[in-house]
Amino acid sequence: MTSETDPAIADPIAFQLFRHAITGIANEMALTIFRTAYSGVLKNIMDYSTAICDREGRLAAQGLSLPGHLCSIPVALKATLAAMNEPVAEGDVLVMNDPYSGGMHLPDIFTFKPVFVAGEVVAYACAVCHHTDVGGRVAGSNASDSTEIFQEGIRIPPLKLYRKGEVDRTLMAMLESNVRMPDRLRGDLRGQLAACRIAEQGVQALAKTEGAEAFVGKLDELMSYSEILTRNGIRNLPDGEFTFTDYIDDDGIDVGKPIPLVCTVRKSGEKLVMDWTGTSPQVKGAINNTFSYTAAASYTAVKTVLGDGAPNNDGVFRAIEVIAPEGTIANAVMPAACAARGLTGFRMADCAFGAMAGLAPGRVLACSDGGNTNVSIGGYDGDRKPFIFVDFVSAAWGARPWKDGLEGNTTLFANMASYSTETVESENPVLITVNEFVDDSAGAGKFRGGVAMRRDYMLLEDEAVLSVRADRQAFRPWGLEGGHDGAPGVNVMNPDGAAEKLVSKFTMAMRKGDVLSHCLPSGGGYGNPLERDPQAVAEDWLDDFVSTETARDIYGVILTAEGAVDLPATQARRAELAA
Amino acid sequence: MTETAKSRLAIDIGGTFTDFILEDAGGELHSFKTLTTHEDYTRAIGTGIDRLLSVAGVAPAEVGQVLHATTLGSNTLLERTGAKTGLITTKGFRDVLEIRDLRMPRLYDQDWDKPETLVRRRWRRVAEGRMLADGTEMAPLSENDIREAVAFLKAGGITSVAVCLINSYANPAHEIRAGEIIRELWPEVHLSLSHELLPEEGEYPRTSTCVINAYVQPVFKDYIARLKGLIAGRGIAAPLFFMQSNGGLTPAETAAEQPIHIIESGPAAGVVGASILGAATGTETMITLDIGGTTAKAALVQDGRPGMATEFQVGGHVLQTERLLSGGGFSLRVPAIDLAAFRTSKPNAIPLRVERPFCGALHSSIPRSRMAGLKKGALILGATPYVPGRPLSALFALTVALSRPAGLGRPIQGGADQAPPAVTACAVTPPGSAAVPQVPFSWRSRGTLRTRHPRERPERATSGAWGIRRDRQVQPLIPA
Repeated sequence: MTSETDPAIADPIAFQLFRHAITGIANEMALTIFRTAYSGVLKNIMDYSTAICDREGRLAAQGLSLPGHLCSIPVALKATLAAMNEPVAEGDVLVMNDPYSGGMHLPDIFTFKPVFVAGEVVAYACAVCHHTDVGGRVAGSNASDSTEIFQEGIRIPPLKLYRKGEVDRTLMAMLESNVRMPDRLRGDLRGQLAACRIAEQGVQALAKTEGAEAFVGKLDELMSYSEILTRNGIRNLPDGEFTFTDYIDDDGIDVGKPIPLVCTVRKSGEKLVMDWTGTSPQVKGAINNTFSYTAAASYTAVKTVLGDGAPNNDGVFRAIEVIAPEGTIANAVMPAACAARGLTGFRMADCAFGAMAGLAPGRVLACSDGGNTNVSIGGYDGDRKPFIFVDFVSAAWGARPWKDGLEGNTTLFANMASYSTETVESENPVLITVNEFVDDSAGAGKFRGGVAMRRDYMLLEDEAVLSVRADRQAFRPWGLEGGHDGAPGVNVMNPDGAAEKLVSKFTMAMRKGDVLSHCLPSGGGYGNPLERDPQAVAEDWLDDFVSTETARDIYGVILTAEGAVDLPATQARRAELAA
Repeated sequence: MTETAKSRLAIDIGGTFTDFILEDAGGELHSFKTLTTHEDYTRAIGTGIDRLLSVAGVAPAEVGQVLHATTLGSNTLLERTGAKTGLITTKGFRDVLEIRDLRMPRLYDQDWDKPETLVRRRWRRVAEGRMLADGTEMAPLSENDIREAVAFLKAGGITSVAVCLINSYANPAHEIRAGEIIRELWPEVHLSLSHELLPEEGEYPRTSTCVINAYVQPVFKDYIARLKGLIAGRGIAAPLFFMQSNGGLTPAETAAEQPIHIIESGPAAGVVGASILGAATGTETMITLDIGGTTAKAALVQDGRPGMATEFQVGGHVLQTERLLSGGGFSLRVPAIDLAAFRTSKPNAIPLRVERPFCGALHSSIPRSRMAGLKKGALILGATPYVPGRPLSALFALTVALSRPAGLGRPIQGGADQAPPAVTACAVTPPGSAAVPQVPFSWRSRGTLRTRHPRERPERATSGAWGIRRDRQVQPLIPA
C-alpha cells in the first residue's frame, strides 16, 4: 500500500484512540457475556458476538469474536428496527431470533439496546448469543434433520423485551415455557442484557466526552476508514473472474445426494463481487443459510486474503458485494429449516477461499476441516430433570502456500473455543474419552495440512437423544497446487465394540455406555509432497504425524529406525515416485 | 536483633538493568544500577551488593533481609532456554498441551501460528487409567505405562517431567502414584505434579502451568543455589525472599520448587511500588506504566489496590496462578506496538521505529506533578482521576492523551536538551487500549491486559515513547 492510497486522517492519534475506545467497549461486552453466561456453549465455547452499531443500524465496531457473525448483527438490527410498530425509547431492549426477520437460526437470540444521549439515539449496543435450547423437536435445537422452521423451536419476531426499563413479563413467560431449560435461557439472556448495559454506559461516556455529534461523525470516519483500506486491498488483487465449486455431502434427509456450492469471484479495479449464483436450491434438511451468514463467509475469505487489518465494520460491507439468489441454500426463504445452517456457512467459507485461490494463486490456504462439527446430547435424568450438552469442534487448517496448516486450532470462520474435558464432565452426564490428534492423518504436500482431531463422547445417563452435524465424509478437504486432499471425517458408534459406521448428519438414540467417536477431517496439503523438506518429514515421523509408510510412499522419504533421513535412498525413492 | 532493626536489601533484575536498593537501619535509602549480566545474572548482583554496601557503609552482617525480583522465569520462557521437558498424561489426551483451547486471538489471519509447545509431541507420553469428575476411579492407573514412559523419556535425554492426568484436581491418587513410581525409577529427574501446582478444573491451563513449572524449575533451582551461595559468601546471613507474581513474597526454597509463582516477579514489584506511592500522594486510582529495556508493562490500580488476574501468558504459554493485573510485556526489541497505520499528507513525514535499548529515552514535557520516578523507572501517568464505570479503553485513551506532548513516537537517540519533534508521522496506540481487545478471547484472562504481538510492517510502525527524563530514571521509592 502506498501513502497516496492511505486514508488521510486529520488527527491520527485522536482517531486511533477513538477506534480503540469503541472497539474496547464491544470487547467489554463480550467479556461480560463470557463471565456471566450460564451455558457451556457461551462461557466455554464462546459462541456469541457483540457489537456497537450506529444510529442507522450500521456496524461500527465488533467485539473480537466470531467471523461467522460478522454482518449478522447489522442485518438483524436493521430488520428489527424496520419491523418496530412503535418508537424506540430509552430503556428499551429489542429481541429477535427469527431467521426470516433478519436472524440466522433460532438458537441465536439477538438483543439490541438503543443508547441515548440527550434524548437522541446515538448508537445501539448489540449482542447475539447461541442459547443452549430454544425448544423444538430435538434437545439443543440444533438438529440437522428437521425439515421446516416450525420443528426447530420458538420463533421470536422483532419485539420489545424491555419497555423503558421494564421487562415484558408476558414475552418472558412465553419464552420460558417453550424451552427445555428456562433457567439457562434466563441466565444467558441476563448476560446478554448486562453486556448491553455496560456498553450503554461506555458509549454514553464516550459520546459525552466527544460530544454527541462528533461521536456520530467519528463512527462515520471509522467506517470510511475500513472501506478505504478494504478497497485499497482489493485494488492490489489481480483483476479477473474465477468460479469454484464444492459439495456438501448431503442434507441429512436425502442421504448421499451432494449439494453444490458455487462461488464466483469477480474483481475489477477496486470492485469485488462474491456471487453464489449456481448454488443449490434450498434443501429439506436444516442446513439452509440466511443471507447474513453467507455474506459473513464471503467477507471472511476476502478479508483474510487481503490481510489489511481493516476494522470490522460497515465499511468492509460497502467494499465487497455479495450476491446470493433467494430460495437457494445460500439465502433460504420460508419455511426452510436452518438450525444446522452453521455447517453450510463453514463450507461456504471454504468455497469462497477456493474462489479466492483461483483469483490469487499462492495467496490462499488449502481447504480446512470444514467444521465445526456440532454434537448435541440431550435427555432427562431419573428425576425427569433435563440435561443438554452442546459441543462445537473444529481443528485443522489447510496448508498455507508458505508453511504447514495448523492442527488443534479452530478454523478461520469458526474461531470458537473448546469445551474443556474436565468442565464437560463436571457439568454433564457425558464423558470425553478421547480428545487428541489422529496419527498420520494430514493431507500431504510440500506443506502439509493440519492433522485431524478426534473427540469421543460416552453417555453416562440411561438414555439420550444424540444429534450430529458433520460433513466432509464424501467430499474431502481439497489440496492446492498438487497438495493432497485431507482425510475425510468419520463418525463411529462404539469404536471398541460394534464399531457401527454412521453418516455425517443424524439424530439417534444413545444409551448408557455408548460412545460416539468423531474424527474431524484433516486439512488439505499445498504443493507436491515429493518437494517437502525430508527433515520436516523426519520431524513429523518422530511426532507420529507421519508413518514410515506415508513417509516412504507419499513423501518418498526413507528414514532410519531412529528417524534420521537416509538421503541417497530418499533421492532414489523420490525419482522412482516422480517417474 | 530482629530483622526490622537491620538493613534491607532489594535486588531487581530486568532485561537491561539490575537495580539495587538498600534501606539502612536508619531508614535511609541507597540505590545502585548496573547492566544486567545475561550470561550469569549473579555477576551483576555480586558487583551491585559490594558497591552498595560499601557506599552505604553497611556491613554484610547488618543485612536482615534480601528481597529479589527477577525476569529469569519469563526470559527462560521467551528465549526457550529451559529444561528438556517430558509430559505424562492420560491416554486419549496426548495433545491437550498443543490443542490449547482451540481458539486464536486474531481474526482473518491465515499466517497465524500457535506458540511452539514447550513439550513436543514425541515427549508427550500417555498412561491408561481414569478418574471421573466426582473423584471416583473409573479405570485403575496402569503403572506399567508409567514405567514405559519413564524409560522412554529417560532414554531421550529428558531432565524434567510434568505429570497432568485428567480430573486429578478432583482426585490426585493416580498422579501421586505416578509421581512415586517416577521418583523411585528416576530419582534425579525434576518432577512437577499438576495437582500440587493448580488443583483446579480445566485440563489445559493445569497442564500448561505444570509444564511451565517443569520447564523453568531446573533453571531456577540452579540460579537460586548460586545466588544463595553468593550472598552467603559475602557474609550476609539474611533470608532470601522472592517477589511473587501476586505481589507477595515467598521464601527462596519455595520459589525453587514452584517457580510458576514468580514468573512475573519483576512487573509485580513495580505495580506494588506504584500503588504505595500512589497512596502516599493521594492518588488511589491510577495507571502504572513500567518501561524497561526489554518490555513495557501497564497496570491498573483501582482504589489503592492493584487488580488481580488468575490466568495469563508468557511467550504465548498459558500460566494459571494468581498475579497482579499488570498488562503489557510487549517487546520493544521489535518495532511497533500496534497498528499505527496512518500517514498524514505531510511530505516530510518520517516513519519511526523504536529500538532497544529504550532506557536511553529522554525528554518529558509531562509536568512534574504528573510524573514520579519509581524504583525500576516506573511511572505513574494517571494522576487524572479514573472515572468509575468508564471503559478501560477510555481510561487508556486518557493516559496517552496525558503523555502526548512527551515526544510521542520520536526516535530514541538524541540529547536531553532536544525538544521532542512534533508528532506528524504516526499514531500511537497506547499499550492498554491495544491490550483490552485481546483480553477476553485469546487468553480468557479475568481482566488481564496484554498487548498483541507486534506484527505490522516495520516501516509503518511506531511506538509511544513516553518520555523518561534521564535524571529521573532511578529514584528512591518515596517521592521527594
